[in-house]
Amino acid sequence: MAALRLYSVGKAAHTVLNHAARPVAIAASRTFWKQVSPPDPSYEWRDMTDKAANTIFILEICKGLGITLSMLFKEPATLNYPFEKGPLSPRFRGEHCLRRYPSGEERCIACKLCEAICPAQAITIEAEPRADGSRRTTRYDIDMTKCIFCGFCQEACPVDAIVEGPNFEYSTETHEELLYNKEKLLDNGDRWEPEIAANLQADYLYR
Amino acid sequence: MMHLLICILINYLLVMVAMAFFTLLERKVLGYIQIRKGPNKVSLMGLPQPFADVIKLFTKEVSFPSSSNLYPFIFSPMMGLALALLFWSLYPYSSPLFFPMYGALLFLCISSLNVYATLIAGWASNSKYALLGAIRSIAQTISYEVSMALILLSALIILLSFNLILMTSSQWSSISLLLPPLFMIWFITTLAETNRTPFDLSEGESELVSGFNVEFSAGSFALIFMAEYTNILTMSLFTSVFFFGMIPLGIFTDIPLVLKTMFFAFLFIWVRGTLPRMRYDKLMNLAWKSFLPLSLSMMILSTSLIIII
Amino acid sequence: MPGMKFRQDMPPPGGYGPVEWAQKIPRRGLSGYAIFGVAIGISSTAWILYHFERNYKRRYELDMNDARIALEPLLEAERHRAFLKQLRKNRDEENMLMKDVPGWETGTLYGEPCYHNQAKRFPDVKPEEYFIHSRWADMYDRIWERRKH
Repeated sequence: MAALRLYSVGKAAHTVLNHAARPVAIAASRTFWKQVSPPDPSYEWRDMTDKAANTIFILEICKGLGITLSMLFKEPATLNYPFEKGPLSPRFRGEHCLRRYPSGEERCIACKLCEAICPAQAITIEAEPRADGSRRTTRYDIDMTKCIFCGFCQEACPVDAIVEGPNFEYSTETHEELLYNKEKLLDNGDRWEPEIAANLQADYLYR
Repeated sequence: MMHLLICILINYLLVMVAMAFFTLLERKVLGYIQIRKGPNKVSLMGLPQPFADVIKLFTKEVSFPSSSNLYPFIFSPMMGLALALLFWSLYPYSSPLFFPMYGALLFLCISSLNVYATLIAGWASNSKYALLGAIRSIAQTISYEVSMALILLSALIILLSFNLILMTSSQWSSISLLLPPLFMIWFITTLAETNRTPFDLSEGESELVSGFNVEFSAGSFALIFMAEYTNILTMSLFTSVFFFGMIPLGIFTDIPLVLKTMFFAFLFIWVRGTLPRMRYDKLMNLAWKSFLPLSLSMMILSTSLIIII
Repeated sequence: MPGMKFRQDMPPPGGYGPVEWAQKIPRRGLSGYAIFGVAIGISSTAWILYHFERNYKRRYELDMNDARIALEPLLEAERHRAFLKQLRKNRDEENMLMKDVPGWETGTLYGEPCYHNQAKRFPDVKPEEYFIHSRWADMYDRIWERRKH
């Protein structure tokens, strides 16, 4: 008991001395402060019990488990891909095609703008005047494994000859099959012409 | 003699089939938790998917790192699977094949041997990443094994028996109700023991390279994963054996045990779908600073309660 | 429109309120006291039930132990009797088997006794000899106790 009293006297003496020394202290005393760190948690019995229950019976984790269980019974958002497909924008940039005029004449005039603009240098064009004097390509190759599908070629084309169609399912088993030549591109154009024409029609106001 | 062998083989075969479909269940449940479908393309609703996986993995080319220790490298996945299957000879049927008096101790022995498969796999592949991954997962497993043994000890003090078959056939009161916190830390410890989320540091696919199994491919990789999933089923089995009493249903006494096991296996997947991965230092803190003192105090508590009652 | 005064788009007087970015978890479910109460209630009930179960098991074990003690002499005698009967059967079998061998005395190798047996009582034979006339596989099953009896 005596020791306890001595201790409390010591504590009191400390505060008294501090207060007494305040007017002569050199260091400036703080008159106000702002607490930046998050406020201390409450130390009421009720709150502490709540917290302890939360820790011991991992209530928040159980709540999380409840949320995942509720997700289990939701309708999945999966598209059943080969049988269902998502909608495509008319601006979708898929496999390349070379288009023709309705007369059957190919549109490409071998201006080589697409070859010039292609950032991946995937397009190779060689051109010669044809027998009737018109300028046409003799070679129009696209390396589909180099292509980055930026769409600059169809932007650059003055006659809408090279376009990127809506087809995106053309995987092959070899690299060579992806080195497209002029025949392949024209064939693509013939096959996808209705879709390409519809897409161009849908988008012509914004081009 | 012969019929015993056949019984054991059938036992192991059924465990393998259960494990195969457990992988499918995991993929489906994780899929539906993430609002997508799991595998549903292989024949009837994707049900034979695990067999397709197995065929794919076992027909792949087997490759070994040029400087690996070949024999341990081949041996360690087999050892892992063998140990995982060895647990199932302890399976407490109501009409058992073996009647091991100290099944709980055998369980502890085998579960501590399981570390060696990982250790050998990491060491024998002779790669920095595999070795570091093995060390990571071994440190975790060993740390949690300490508290697992202590938890099991306090459970056995209450059960007053080492015999798994007696536990499942004549023990009515269940420890999960007697000491709920004990059961909770046991379940979390089994999650850590089997290297599952949120403690799957041994295969941190997104942050780290895959762990001790980086160098494994094809068949040996398949064996490692089969061992892992068998271990999950084993752990859920032993959770329901140790921590849940038997429900007397006559000839159907085995069925509640199976249902409980299935629930815990599902809980493993469910937890994986819910929780993110833990940080490694937090994992170690949890083992040594929370679970070890907690399990020790639980042991004292259960001992004193047993003496009082 | 000339009559309309221009009005600058401004924040509401006094400024916008603080942005609510922290997650707000509504307090639902039981309070901490209630959770602890339920847990302690459940486990104390379970402990009481456990107490009854253990008493029941103790009595049952005692009962079984008494029954075992009562049966023990009977079982022991029965086992001895079976042992002696099997020895006799083995002797008869050997007599039958070796009746064509001249100079063969049962239980000996041409007059040389296999066991040190001065009291001339039954010999305490090895298990291999005890099961010598059964199938090899059966013998080893019994010796290693592979098969449940």
